[in-house]
Amino acid sequence: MKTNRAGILALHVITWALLIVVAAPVLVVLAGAFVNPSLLGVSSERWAAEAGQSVFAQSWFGYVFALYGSSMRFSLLLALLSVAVCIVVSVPAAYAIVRSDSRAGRVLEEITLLPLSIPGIAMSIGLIQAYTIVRGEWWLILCGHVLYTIPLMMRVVTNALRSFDLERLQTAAQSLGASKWQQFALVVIPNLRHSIIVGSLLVFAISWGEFNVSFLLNTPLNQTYPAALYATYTANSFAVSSAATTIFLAVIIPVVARGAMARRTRVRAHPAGSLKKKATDEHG
Amino acid sequence: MSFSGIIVGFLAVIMLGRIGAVPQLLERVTGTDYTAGWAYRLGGLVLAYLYFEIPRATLTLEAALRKFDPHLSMAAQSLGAGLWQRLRLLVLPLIWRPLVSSFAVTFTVSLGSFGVALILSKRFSVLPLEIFEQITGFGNQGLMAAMSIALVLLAFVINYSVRAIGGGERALA
Repeated sequence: MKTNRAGILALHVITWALLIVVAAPVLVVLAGAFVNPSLLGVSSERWAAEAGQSVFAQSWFGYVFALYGSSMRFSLLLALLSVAVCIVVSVPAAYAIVRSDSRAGRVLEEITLLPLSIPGIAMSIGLIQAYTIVRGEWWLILCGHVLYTIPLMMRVVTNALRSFDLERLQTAAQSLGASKWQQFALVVIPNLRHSIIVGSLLVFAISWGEFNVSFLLNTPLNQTYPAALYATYTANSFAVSSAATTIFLAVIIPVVARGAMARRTRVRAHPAGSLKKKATDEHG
Repeated sequence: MSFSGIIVGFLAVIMLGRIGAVPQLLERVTGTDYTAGWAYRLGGLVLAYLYFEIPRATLTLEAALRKFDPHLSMAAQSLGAGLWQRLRLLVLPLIWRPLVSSFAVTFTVSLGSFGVALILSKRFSVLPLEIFEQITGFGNQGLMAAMSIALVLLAFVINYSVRAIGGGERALA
């Protein structure tokens, strides 16, 4: 029992150390965005003189919003559109693949999952070389984002479709007189609602932070926010970069947290939870 | 975590850069700014990649461990297995497949990521960064395409051979 306790203590120590290592840089960024840089000892003399002796520096958020506001809006729009396209494409596609349950379906599924193992930079070079004529158009960036995120959405939705007895539910609906379309809209979609939410949050977070694909397809007019962040890192002071990063984090952390919460409450939030449970119970 | 590479690079710079938070703290405590500029060395790059990859691997493995039945551990304990024996003979075989697939995924992501290296690498380069240089600087289309194909092939071969050897399944990246 004694060694056991020591082992568990060691595991706790490792977990906490990891947590501190992960959280510390984020806290420094927050400090950099809000606190007078001269107190942190990271500013040049000129800024220190401007900021005076107050603890809170002049806010750089206004500066970041004025300079990079357009790329912020563009990135948000891009992320929302990626989510929309992913939902519209992957839900029917995943349904078709799972329902058909054929060899061709599995091959197709494997192909849709391919972009997961292609490095982002190779994919964006492929896009640039294949579509040289439309390079610089904003929707080519959207295509890159969708290409990058759709395997994740497909994966979440196909997993969900396989987790309950789809065929039995549909047969039941059919016996009650539901048409194919009604079965899809009133039985399949409500059962998938939770996974669609989880997948959407994932797609949104990845699209909002995506740098590999969008940086190479960027134009000065259509700049994504991570590309703007890169610009602040290379050209601006620590305080401005921190403010820009803080804005980035302020968007992504709630999304990621919501996603983690949704994963945890999977069963409870399921609208047809009881039905699903019953179906699987009888099945297995 | 879905931080992109450049953000991890920036975090590495502010923590371990030439006037990063850790060296400054050490300077105040001990008087020497040990670890200053580490972010730009190989060790710093590795640390930044770890920061990038550990959360991914943790998520995959967490999902696997959640399915783990605690009764198995109790049964092993009742048979007299110690902590290490249980870890080695029970837990490890059970999470072997997710372990292999998370290895494959983190490997591929590290191989292809260039945001971290874009910010951090000053003295040495990685393949994705070379490709990036070709696009922005020299514009040698053929070389650029060839390097991308090499990168993709490398990712595929290693990914699939690891899965073939280890028997892992495809995991969520």
